[in-house]
Parts: sequence; structure tokens; C-alpha cells
Amino acid sequence: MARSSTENMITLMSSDGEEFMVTEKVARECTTIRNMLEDDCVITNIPLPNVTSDILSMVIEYCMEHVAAAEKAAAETAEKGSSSAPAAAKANKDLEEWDKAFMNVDVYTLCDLILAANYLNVSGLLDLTIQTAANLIKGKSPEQIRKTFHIQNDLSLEEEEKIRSQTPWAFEKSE
Amino acid sequence: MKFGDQFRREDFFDSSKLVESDNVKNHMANWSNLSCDAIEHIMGFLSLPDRHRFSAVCQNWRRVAKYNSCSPVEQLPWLMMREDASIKKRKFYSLTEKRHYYIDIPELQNTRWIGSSFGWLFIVDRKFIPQLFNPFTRECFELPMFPRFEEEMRHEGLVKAILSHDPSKTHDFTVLLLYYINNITRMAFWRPGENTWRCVPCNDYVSDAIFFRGNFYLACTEHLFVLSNVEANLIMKQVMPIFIACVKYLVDFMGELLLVGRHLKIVGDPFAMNIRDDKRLHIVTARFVVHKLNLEGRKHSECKDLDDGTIFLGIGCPLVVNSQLFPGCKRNSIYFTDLVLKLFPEPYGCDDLGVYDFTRDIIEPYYPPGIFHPIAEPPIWLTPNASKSAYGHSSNKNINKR
Repeated sequence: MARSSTENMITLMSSDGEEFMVTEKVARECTTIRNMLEDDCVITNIPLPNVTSDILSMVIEYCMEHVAAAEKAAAETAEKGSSSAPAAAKANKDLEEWDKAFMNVDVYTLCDLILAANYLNVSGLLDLTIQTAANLIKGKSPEQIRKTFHIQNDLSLEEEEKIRSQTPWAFEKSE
Repeated sequence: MKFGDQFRREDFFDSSKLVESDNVKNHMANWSNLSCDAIEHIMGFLSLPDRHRFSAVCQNWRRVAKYNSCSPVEQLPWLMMREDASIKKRKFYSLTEKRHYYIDIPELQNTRWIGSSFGWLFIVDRKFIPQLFNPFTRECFELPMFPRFEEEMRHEGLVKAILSHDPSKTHDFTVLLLYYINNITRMAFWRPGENTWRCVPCNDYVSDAIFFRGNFYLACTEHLFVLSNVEANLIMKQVMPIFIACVKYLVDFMGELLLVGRHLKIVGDPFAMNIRDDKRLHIVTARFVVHKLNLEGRKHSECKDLDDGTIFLGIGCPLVVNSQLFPGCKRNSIYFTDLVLKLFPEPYGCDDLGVYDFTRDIIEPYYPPGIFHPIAEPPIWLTPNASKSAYGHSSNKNINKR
């Protein structure tokens, strides 16, 4: 898609020193960055000491996809005067499919994405990653959850017994 | 050059390879020490049983689960059934998980239930003492005894009890109880703090009642009525005629009032006398019809499609959900349980459970068919509600935790 040459570019710097040049529009998807830009509009270089380059590149990819989808929808509305409902529904579904494919990551990456989305305040990405984590928990026993997320069991036997005895039914296996 | 393409080619694909080959120590954090905010956020998407299992994963998650007060995610109601005699535990069925849960709830022994609203059951024990009871927090409201002259109403005279608001959230709610004496419907009202029921006769046969937009409505033989001045001298006003010749229900369908009609049919062989005979005569649901009630225009019109909506219908307050939020939940459908009042005594028990699909006009099972649930303990929809009453126990002498 065509972008105007006057669009501001912003450089984001990851914790490991890698630089990512993005349009201001994409950067503004991160509320944390948007707030920085609103406080100081001439800023062009933003260090992000809490985000590694591999995770930052994924966050940027997510923001770019969502900005592009919003621009496409806006362009269609402008062209036809109003957006047609079936086209909008399809675009939504396509974006949902894209999100779903984007979430095909290992649990370590998912955890880092949650932290980055939280730090950069990308609400769409935060909801997506949190929902993905919740879906990985649903219907699983504590043992299965620990295995899925590589979590060490740091509860003592007594503590575990106490938790289970409060609602034993929730821990019974399904017939 | 287009910037997006450049970014994808040079940065993203390289870094995605990096992610796949990554090992644990290159990551910023791990799951057990995620921030409390993030853990709470995840918990917000979990149902009640998932929350309990979640809290037994590790210390950090346990701490968050323990002090977290946000209510669990909206979930499909569970089907509450008879007590399992061998283990003395109440049997529940979760449609979402397609599994049973067996929960020890001694308070429900030897009781029968005639209502369920907001996760609270209206129960009557063997001594005919009524109670509001939440099986997931074990909180209860002891209700006044029924007046003496109502003794003849007996257990089978009780029809339905509904609540205006969720007792977990507010002290300001009203219970409406419908019951029959000599085939005349009567209403009884109770509010927290009151020592007696306020009993009001109704000169019509009441099929169903609902609390909708701040008022109680009654679906009677030929008319819809609205009740006002419930606290003192009740006023009952006709709203509109409703002519549908079948069992009627009132449903709050995402802010619209629906009249749902349940058509029945008699199946089986009148000469099959054996109780366990599949061919025996009994009454089952044939289909449903839905009418939208236009309260302002005082008329109703048939509605052929519930869209993505799904209704749970039975003894308790009807529940409505958006099926798109619940995988496996059929859209444009009604999940039903047995009738409150049997048209003729069926010694065999309740087995009229199914899901009616409006699109295809068919009824399918959602629970294994051919199981007879005892009439004294009919299956009832109940949404697990584990939030403790916000106002504590001290302000009301009626609320007790057993």
C-alpha cells in the first residue's frame, strides 16, 4: 500500500541494541509510545530497555498488520461511501485468522509477548496473548498446566493438599 | 521501496527463526513470576473449576487466586441433578466441558428446588421451610415459614420462585413465589428483613413470571400483566393479550422481552404398563415458538430466528447467552429441561431434556437420553456463582453460612 513520503519515521531500540524503523502510525499502536510522542513531539528515537529484539519485531509485526487492516477498512468506506457489512465481516474474520496464526508460538515467547504488550500497552495484543494463555489452561489439571508452561511446583505437599481439600470436586478426573 | 516489505523480509523472518531456535535463558521472564496484573488478567478468562485448578499450580498463582475478587468469566449454566446415592454427592453436568462434577453439598439433602436465579436456588426442606441457597458459596437466606392457612398448598402446589436481583450483589431484592391452592394461583412476596410473606391471590392461571426492566411481569392464560407497588398494595395491570395455546415462558432476551411457547406431544403406547417400558405413554416436548413482546405497542409478533442467541429453559429463571462466545453451544436454539408441573403423574421420572434448533426445527439430546431423573429432584439449570455477598453477614440476620 502507498504511504505518503511525509510520514514520520520513528526508531525503536530493543534491549539488545537492535534498531527498528517504523512509521509513527505503527508506533502509536503502543499506548506507551503514543504518550511519549504526545509529551514530546520531536522525539524520533525511543529506547525500549525492557524488550528484546526478537519480541519487539513480533510486536511491530502485530501493530503493522492491525494498522494495515484498519487503513484498508477506512479506504473501502471512503470509496463506497459506506462499508458493506459482508466485506467488513470478512475482513474481521481474516484478521482473526491472522491473529490465530500469529499466536502459534511456544509458551516462552507467549510469556515475553504478554510482558512486552503490557509494558508497551498494546491492548489488542495483550488481550490476544492473555486469551491464548487462558485457552491453554482450560480443562487442564494443575500437573498438566505446570507441564504446559514449564512451571516448577513450589507448593509444599501440605499446601497442595489444603488447596485441593477446599474444592475436591474441581480436581477429580472426568469419568 | 515499501517500508513494510523491507521490514518483513529483513527483520521479521530472521528474528522468527531466532525465536524458534531460542532456549529458555534468552527469555525475559517465565510463567511462575509473571506480574500479578497479568496473572489476574488470565484468571479473568477462566471458569470457576478452571480457577480452582489454576490456584494449585504454584505459590505465585495461588496468591493471586486467593486475593483476587473479580468474578469468573461468563459461563454456560450447569445442569444440577440428583444426589449420587453411592457417594452422597450432588451431581452436576458442565456442557462446556462435557463432564460431570460431584460436589458434597449436605444442605441440599432432602430438599426440593423450585427456582434458580443468579446461581441461587430456592429450596424447601422436608419440614417445608423455604430457603435461598447458593451451593457454591454455601450462603443462605432463611425465609419466613409459609402462613398457616397455606399449609394445604403442600409441596406439589409450589410452582416457581424468582428473584428480582442477585443477592450476592445487593441487599435490595424481592422474591416472588408462585403457588397453587385449589387450582388458583397465588403470589407471595418477600424482601430481606421482612418476617412474613405478603400473599396475594391472582384471579388467573399464571404460566410464568419474570423481573424485567424494574418490574415483575406475569404471563397468564390470555394476558400479560405488569405488577407495581409490590411493597404495599399490589397493583396488577393488563399490558396486552397473549394468545398462544401452549406452556408459556417469559424470557429476557438481551433486553427484549420474549414469550416462548412450548408445544407438547403425547408419545407411546397407552397399553404399555411397565414402568421401564420405553413405549409407555408420556408427554414430551414437540417444538417451541417465540414471540417478541412489544410492551409500548402492546402487541406481539412471532420471531422465527434467535440469531446467535441461545436460551436455557426449565424450572429456574431462563438464561440467555451469545452462543458465539461458547464453543460447542448451539446457536438459535433452546436447551430445555422437564416441565415444572407434570400434566399427568409420571412415576418414571423426568427425561424430557433436549435442545431445540430453530433453523432445522428438530430436537436433539445434549445429555445422554433414556436416563430417568427423579421427579423430586428434577434437573435444573444453575450458573455457578462463587462471589460472596458484598455486604457481609452482619447486616442481615437472615443470611447465614452453614
